[in-house]
Amino acid sequence: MRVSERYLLLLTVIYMLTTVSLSAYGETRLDLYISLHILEYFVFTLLHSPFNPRTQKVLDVVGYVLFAVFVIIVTSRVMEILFGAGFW
Amino acid sequence: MTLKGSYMFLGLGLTLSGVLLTLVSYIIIGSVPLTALGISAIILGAVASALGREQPKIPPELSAILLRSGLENTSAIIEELGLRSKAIYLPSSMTDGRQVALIPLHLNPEPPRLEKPLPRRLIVKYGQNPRDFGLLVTTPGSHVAEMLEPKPGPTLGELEAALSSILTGITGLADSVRVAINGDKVAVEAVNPHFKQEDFWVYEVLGSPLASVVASITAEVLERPVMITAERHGKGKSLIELDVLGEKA
Repeated sequence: MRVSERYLLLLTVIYMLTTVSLSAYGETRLDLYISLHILEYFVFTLLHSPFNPRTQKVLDVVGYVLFAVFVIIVTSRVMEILFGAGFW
Repeated sequence: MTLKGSYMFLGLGLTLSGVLLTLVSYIIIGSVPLTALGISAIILGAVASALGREQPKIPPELSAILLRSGLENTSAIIEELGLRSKAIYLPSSMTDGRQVALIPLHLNPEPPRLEKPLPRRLIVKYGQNPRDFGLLVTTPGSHVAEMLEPKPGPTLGELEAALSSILTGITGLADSVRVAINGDKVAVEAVNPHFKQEDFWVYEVLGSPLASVVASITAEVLERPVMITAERHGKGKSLIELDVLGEKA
């Protein structure tokens, strides 16, 4: 199995396991699900690097978008703690 | 449909179904786990589309045929000339700007010492001795070595990073690479090499394509001539041993 195939397969399996485990525990915070998915994306991408430069460029763009989402989630949580109200 | 097309199709399908699932489960059903599942499908769709760009533009079977015919031609020349000397992989700074391998026409106990850069010709004179003639050939690793941008420094870490980038990232020849340097000896271990080992005469002289790529990159990174001294292919890994010759160019 090629590295790229293993990467996609493992990412799919870990996303499924995370979603099933959290929902089994009755977790209802969407930001927790998203944060874990983002974290898993970065960990698995790093573990399977380096990729072909063309692929790496697109994965970097995906990484920037996911990091921005993660920053928004963290900022919202911090604002919720400091001022009692988040973004949603 | 090509493999690249399949990945793109998978990526598009996952992204669209992910967007749909996210909207329906968040707005209509109000289910957080299903919304998370939709978001994960969007991420997987983006990753699949990215991996589609990694798939080769020409079919692997055609690449194998082209490589095989090239190797058979080189093998025929080497066999016809009765060459048995191990090839010496030269950095581009020791030739006319391109990374090539020098095959001495006569067996010498001592590896050749190059005093000046060699011209880009098939048959070259590389030393003072009248018998110091050799063939300058392009190897599978020659073009791969040109992909080293920016050129790494001559340290163990940078050599390992360069080999890893080329072998696992660009060519997909192996899953991972480990390098050890002991004086003028370099040992490279490639884990899970994706290459069918065949029996060509040219392998005795130039080494297998995997070893050739490793030797070319090592010569280019260390800026010194390199010779393949041993190649061992075991289950799930290949070990390539190199001798680094001469002074830095």
